[in-house]
Amino acid sequence: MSDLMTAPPTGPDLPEARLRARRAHLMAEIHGSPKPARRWMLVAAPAACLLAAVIAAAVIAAPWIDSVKPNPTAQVLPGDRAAALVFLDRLAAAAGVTQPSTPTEGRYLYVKSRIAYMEFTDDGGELDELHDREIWLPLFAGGRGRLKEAERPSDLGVFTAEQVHADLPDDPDELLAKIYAESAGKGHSRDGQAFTVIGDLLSEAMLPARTTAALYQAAAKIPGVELIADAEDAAGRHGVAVARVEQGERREWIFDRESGEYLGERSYLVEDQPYGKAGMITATTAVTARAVVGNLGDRH
Amino acid sequence: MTGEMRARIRAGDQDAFGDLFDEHARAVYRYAVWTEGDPTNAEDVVSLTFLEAWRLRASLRPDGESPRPWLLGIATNVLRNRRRAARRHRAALSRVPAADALPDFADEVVGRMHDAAQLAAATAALRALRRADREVFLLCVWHQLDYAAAAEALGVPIGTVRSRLSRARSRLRVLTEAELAQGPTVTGTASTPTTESVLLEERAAFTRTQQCFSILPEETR
Repeated sequence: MSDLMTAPPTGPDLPEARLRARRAHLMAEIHGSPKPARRWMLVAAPAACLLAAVIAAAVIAAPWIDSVKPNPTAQVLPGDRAAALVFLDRLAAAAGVTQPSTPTEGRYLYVKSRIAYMEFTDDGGELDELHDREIWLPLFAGGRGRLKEAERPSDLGVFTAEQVHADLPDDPDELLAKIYAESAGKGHSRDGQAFTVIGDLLSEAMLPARTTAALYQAAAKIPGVELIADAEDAAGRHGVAVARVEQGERREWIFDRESGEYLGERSYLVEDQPYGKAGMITATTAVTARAVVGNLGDRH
Repeated sequence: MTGEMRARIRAGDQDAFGDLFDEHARAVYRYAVWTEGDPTNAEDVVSLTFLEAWRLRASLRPDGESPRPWLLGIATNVLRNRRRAARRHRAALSRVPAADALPDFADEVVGRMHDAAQLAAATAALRALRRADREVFLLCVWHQLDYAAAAEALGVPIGTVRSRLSRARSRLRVLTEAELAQGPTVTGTASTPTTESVLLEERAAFTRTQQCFSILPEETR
């Protein structure tokens, strides 16, 4: 008999038929996955989405039902396409002014956010616990990235020059074309995936001012993008949202109404779905800190 | 595995996930059976691990060799808190085709009875270890990950892997010696009213454990 102190035992093996069944199941699940593919170029992690403030408020208001979490809801406001174009244009114009160039050699972009996910279930969805997400992205080739989510750190590996200095065109049309090309085959639709990609870049990336401006202008060219007059992030801050509806779910990028600062994201249903009613919040995030730091692990 | 493959996985390429499953699902299944000492939930652990891998795909490092350490790290978390993972993916699990809708595989199971007995004895001994030590033993010895890969899978420093593995091996050695010391009592004159069947059962268990762990090499790494 083999010595199990130094070598693995033989088996057990999953019978072939069961293996095939589990594989088919996995492929079907990820094909219809309601979670968007949220990784593109500089963005080192899946999108964070959440519900915190709303849940906290609900529990405080009704502590006796804390064992049954109510699904927080958002008021479904009408979107305004023309207003979105004006607002994005304003953000693009301000991008060059509000982003001073910082020396980046040997430094890291640090972003902290509060996030929570809604997982879709047959019962209509269940909330993940609200938790912190912290990410360190090297701003120089050869640096390591780090992600810490729900207290579990993961090493994002060494970043190449390509990953650090994404080769993004400054022309909005070219930029959008590149994003469409990179997004081919991902997400539910070309436009939905492009909206996701730009949102990820806004939340956790440091781009040259010209590129940031081009991203806003590219977003304005995506069909279906509209402005929502009021939105609340996971930290309870109110702002105005640039949004797009995909398969009955609206995703919002929330900005400070005055300064145009990016606050966070929110998603909710705008139509009744098998897993929830219109207004049910499916994601909420809030960026709570953002800094360029000198060492991996530094927070300011 | 190429960096391009890692990039495809990170980007949510579904074909890449199919390939990932083909290459590593069996290892995840074995890890589940070894850890729990029981195949009952192991298939679900496979599904949960890959569903979690899909959800957490951006946490795969862009550079490196096999993604197996990353997957086994996810499997470790699923195994540590299977109920939580099952809750997260409850809807997805409800759509798994029922086992009885599949071809009967009883023959295959029967063909594995011998392996199963050996495995049962080994996993029983492993369950006497602390969970963290058992995880390191399974990853380093049975999955044959090197220290760095096991450290990556578990999210702990390499030194911790080293010390846990050392502790796991010492503990297994002690367990085996305890079995050896206990042996003559079981097989000697029956001073206690033990029935013959129990005696035989104990002796069989002792023999299996001895066979699994009696040859205890010094640290091989």
